[in-house]
Amino acid sequence: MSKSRYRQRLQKDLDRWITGGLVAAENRDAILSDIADAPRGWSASGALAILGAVLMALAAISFVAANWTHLGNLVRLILVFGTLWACFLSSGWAFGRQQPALGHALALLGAALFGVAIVLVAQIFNMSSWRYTVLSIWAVGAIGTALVIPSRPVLILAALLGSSWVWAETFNPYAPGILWNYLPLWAVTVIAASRMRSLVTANLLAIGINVWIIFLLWDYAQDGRLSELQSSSVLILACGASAMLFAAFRDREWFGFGALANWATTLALFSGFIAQFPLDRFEARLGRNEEAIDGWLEIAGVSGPDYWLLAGAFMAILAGALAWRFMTRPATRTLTIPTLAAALAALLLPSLAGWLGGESILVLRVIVGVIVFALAIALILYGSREGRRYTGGVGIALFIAQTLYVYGETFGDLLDTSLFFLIGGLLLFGLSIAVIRLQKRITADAGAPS
Amino acid sequence: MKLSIRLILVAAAMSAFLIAMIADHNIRRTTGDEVILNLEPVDPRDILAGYFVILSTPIHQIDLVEIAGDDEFSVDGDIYVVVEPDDDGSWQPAAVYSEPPSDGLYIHGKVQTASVSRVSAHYNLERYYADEETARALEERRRTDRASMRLIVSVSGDGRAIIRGLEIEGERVIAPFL
Repeated sequence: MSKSRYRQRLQKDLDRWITGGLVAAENRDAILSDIADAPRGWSASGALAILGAVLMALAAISFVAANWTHLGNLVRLILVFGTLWACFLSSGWAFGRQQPALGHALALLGAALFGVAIVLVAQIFNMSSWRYTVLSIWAVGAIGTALVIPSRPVLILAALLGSSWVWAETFNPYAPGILWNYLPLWAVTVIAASRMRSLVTANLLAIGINVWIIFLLWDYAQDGRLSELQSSSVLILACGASAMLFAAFRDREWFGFGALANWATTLALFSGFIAQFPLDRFEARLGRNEEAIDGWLEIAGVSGPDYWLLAGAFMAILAGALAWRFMTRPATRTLTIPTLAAALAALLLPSLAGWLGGESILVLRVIVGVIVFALAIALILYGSREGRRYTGGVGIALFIAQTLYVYGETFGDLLDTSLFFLIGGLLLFGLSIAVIRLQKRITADAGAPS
Repeated sequence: MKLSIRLILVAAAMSAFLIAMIADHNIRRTTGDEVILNLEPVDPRDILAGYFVILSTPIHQIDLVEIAGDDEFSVDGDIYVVVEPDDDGSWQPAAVYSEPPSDGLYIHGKVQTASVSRVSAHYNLERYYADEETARALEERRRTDRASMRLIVSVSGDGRAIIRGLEIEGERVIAPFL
């Protein structure tokens, strides 16, 4: 609904509520002015100016990339430097003339030209070791600009550059280990995003931090320090811990942390879902060749210190955030037991796999399958509450994905799968009837004379 | 503080960083010792900086069996290659170390891969940026007459190397900074 339409509707509702005695007449103007003060999404002129700045920034990047030899190095440097200064000075002038849309667009172009200038210098001196570090330096420059103004469009650029940096280094075979420098950059950007109420930035930061977590685990897994199941378990716990931590901040009304929590929740559930894949692959291999049992250790792994260090740390964060929410947000208490149970299952899954051994692969697959189904159902039930639609939606998506997956892959043979679905279906029907009876009893108790 | 002043400070901070970057590289390029290396280029394109020629020289792939110095290197670790000129003026690796050597002209790099007999390393000398036409011409020359091209490098006292230009059929091609 557009703001003007909302205002018209609110005016009518307010008049009706004042007539009905629900709202004091003297509060009418204050309520309407509060609507006027609230930050707007964007205007047509602002959007066009920002899009224009984006295209001009791309023109500058392409111009530098073309390495046009008709202009000397010094002329090109002066051109880029001059434009950068002109953008920032014009931006200050535009803000002073109460033209914020133009001011933001020019500041965005100025911040973009900072990166263009770094690329130009790197090109002039044939630098080859800079190529991803440039994104981090550029992001720092953009964050500085965004904080000084403050400017949401420039902050979006900073988040985009930070996420691009961690993404590029993830796929860079020469990346120097874990990118710890991303964390302070991320933290500063996320605080700025929360203060400036930038949802786009929050979503970009969510992508960045999740890529960073995957990068961290990949670094451990490629050295053989984590097996496939251990990697899956740590990923589930890492995403679960960050989801719970972000949700705790969301509970305290920190803007943008809802988006961060939603991304982390989705990735945690997706990680749980794909944890089944190595088990399926092993069972298929075992069916073709009995000697494949020797490969079980590669999947289950051994209880090395690296696993328990990582998994234990994330489990502690998750438990701490869960306890915090339990104490400060009573409405979230129903989620405590399913979350703890799922986290413990993820933590102990590699040990359980090692203990059962490769011969009991079917039992393990059924256990994991049941846990995924149970978690999906718990989320759907939790999502039936007001304001928890995203959680419910993710639960439904997980349930559908798991159902199709089990049907496609089958547990043992088709008869076993059919029996699995039959028992599951009967259990859900029974649960549904129990819930209906419980609700009726609660309604009857509430209506009975005391 | 007024917003205009704050934006000027941002622009000044960005400019100071860029000027420091330019000054550092230009000083190293102009004042370092000159080393000429044989090369084998190919031309890809960078999404930001445009076309470039990938450079590979004798110091990029080193046979540890034939070269003096240390025998063990770790991935991501430091490598110091002592270089000496041969009869035709091309500089060749003479020894490799994991710590800076006490004498000789050396180039500092980072180890990419290492085995008992070979080590490959990067020295910030792996790209030569050019416009599309020049990059393709260099690639064509590589296919037809590889020996006609050499890389001119400036090496500072701490071993950091910066590309100064190319030597094509004995003629120096060095783009002036100014």
